Amino acid sequence: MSSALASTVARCAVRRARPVLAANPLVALAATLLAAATAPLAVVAGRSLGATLGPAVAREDGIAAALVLGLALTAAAAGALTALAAPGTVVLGSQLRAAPIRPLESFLWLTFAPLALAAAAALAVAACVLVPVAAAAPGGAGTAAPLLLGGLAAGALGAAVAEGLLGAVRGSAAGAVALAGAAVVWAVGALALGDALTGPLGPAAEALRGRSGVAAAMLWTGSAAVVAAGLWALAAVHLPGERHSGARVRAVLPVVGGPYLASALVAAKQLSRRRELRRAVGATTVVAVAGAAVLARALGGAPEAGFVLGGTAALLGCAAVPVASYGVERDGAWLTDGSPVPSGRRASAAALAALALAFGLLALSLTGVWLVAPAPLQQFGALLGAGPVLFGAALAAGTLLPWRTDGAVDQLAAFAALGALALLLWLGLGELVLRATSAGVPRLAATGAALAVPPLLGVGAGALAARRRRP
Amino acid sequence: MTHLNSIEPLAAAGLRKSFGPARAVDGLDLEVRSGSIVGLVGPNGSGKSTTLRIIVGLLAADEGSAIIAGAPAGSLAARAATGYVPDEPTGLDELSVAEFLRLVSALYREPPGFTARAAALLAAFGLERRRDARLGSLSHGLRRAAAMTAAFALAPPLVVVDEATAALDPEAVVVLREALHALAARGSGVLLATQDLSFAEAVCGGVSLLSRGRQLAHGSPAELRARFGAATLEGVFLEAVGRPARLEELTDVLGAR
Repeated sequence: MSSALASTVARCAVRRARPVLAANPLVALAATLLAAATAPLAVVAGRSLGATLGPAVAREDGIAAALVLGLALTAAAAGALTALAAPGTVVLGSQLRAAPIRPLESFLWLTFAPLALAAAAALAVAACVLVPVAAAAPGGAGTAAPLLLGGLAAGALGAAVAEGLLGAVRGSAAGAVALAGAAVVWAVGALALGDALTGPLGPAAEALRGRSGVAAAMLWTGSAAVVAAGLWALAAVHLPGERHSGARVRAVLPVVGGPYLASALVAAKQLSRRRELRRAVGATTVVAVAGAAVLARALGGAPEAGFVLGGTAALLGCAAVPVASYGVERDGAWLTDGSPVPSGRRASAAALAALALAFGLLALSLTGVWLVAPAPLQQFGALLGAGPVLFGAALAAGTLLPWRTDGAVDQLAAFAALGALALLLWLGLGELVLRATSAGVPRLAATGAALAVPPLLGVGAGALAARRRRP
Repeated sequence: MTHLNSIEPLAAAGLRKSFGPARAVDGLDLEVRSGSIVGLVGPNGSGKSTTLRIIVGLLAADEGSAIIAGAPAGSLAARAATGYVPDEPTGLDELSVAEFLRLVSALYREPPGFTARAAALLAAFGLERRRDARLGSLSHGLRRAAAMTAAFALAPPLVVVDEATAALDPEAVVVLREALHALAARGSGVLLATQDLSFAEAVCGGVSLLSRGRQLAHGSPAELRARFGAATLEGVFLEAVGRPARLEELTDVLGAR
């Protein structure tokens, strides 16, 4: 049965992707080239980072811990977000959800396996960055292994905490046990190693600084990863009720403001009523604020580091909204594509609504992070300014691979496309701004124009796709 | 799989289910014996689908119990003893009909005779030449026929069909009727929900009339007709549930130029 479940999920994902790629050969080619370029780009980025971070790790005591915590915070936010978005048996449809499938089998093959595959891909890219960084640090290249295992452990802990919290809210004892277990894992590491901040990941930081062995660090981080995965499974298997509600659209089309505003308002309602999106944004915001508070307290004199790391996690969480925008709008196409309002106009209104919603949430999240880890206003503005690039890329990625509540693989692929597009836009637009300013264009104007490109790209991609969709 | 005729396919007592302040099912008792076909009829929102979803384990009842072939609803044993046809089969659109049936067989631990029964049902529903068609490419009616093929080929102790005749063409309705009779004849219990009162009258040995989550009446179609002094089940329905309000006003407004 297990092989039947796994092969069904994989087959459906491949068959969904095939027509999308066949209909957009240029996009497919660009995606392939981008995927091929990711590893070399990551190595280049790692070498550049290593040249700065390596000596800093040797010089400053807190740098290695901050690196480990930054990695852990990002991994925990990603783990929480993907675990909460994973559809479980919903992927089997209305009939087979009633089939006699053991909860553990369902978790293993419909949630854990796709996420583990995605984690493996993410770890491969992370290794390309971390190996050169570790090689430049006193511990040497081998210390990248415990760093990666630490990331894996943090991702699994994030998933266990998110799933445990969801279960505990629904009255599941297993959910409460998973939550307590995650706290115990951290506490045991903190007590044994004498560092409350890094908990069981402390040996990875120590190894990076060349003060402890790689094997011991791998044992600590690997054990934490295994226990965290077990806690995640415990919470997920005993989660009462369905993973997601039907999330049906109950919006009433307002007539005030014409069809364009009506489409935007309906899109905003659709997105805000998606339970999986609310959970994803909520979970990453909580992780961001908590992580920022911990870092600000730990780093004492430099709370802005906590703000940057927490704010980045919040930024990633809010990107789930524009990623889902086109897919959610497409869900209602059976009704709206027959209306006299051009589908391209409606889709662009929906995309703009998603952008507005994401920026609103980002402003709120950043304010929360700022309250616990105050930072100069320029840093607040810088993170808010990264929004257009990330959210524009998210709209485009969500158009290429439309969001489906019941498609774990689709969601992961959309997030991967978001990462690749955001990186490409960031590097490309950064280069353009540099060239423009050296040619005499005022920096503010060049930056403003560059920041307008990704949202326009994202909104335009959605409108074009919607126009092609119309019979 | 549980032996037929050894334990009743379904015995439910005191089922209650609320969604917020709305009570969807309110103290429902239900029994389906081996070889019987029981129909749930009632207006939209009367709790038919919610009741079926509790029985197949997709929803947990707030109160009451449902025992399927000796096992509590929602347990693995109960799920293995139930074949379910939802009102709107969705999901796995990318699988072909044949792949879908193979998956169903695998998930239910390959019941003996599944392949032969599935082949016969496919032929009867006219799906044989669409074995390789993707589920997502089928019309709503054919998609429901594929779902029925999967559920009926399991030949489980309890067959649960929601909105039995919805979207089916007249030929498929005949196939459905014969298939349900055949399943009942081999010992399965059948519980179906339908708005098609003539179908319920023709197929069901027992009918439960629901309104606002409560059971207004239960009996064979003949007993219900006699009790309510009506010539048809539709007459029973209108007597028990009430006639549509303000029909005259509706026709006046709609008909006004």
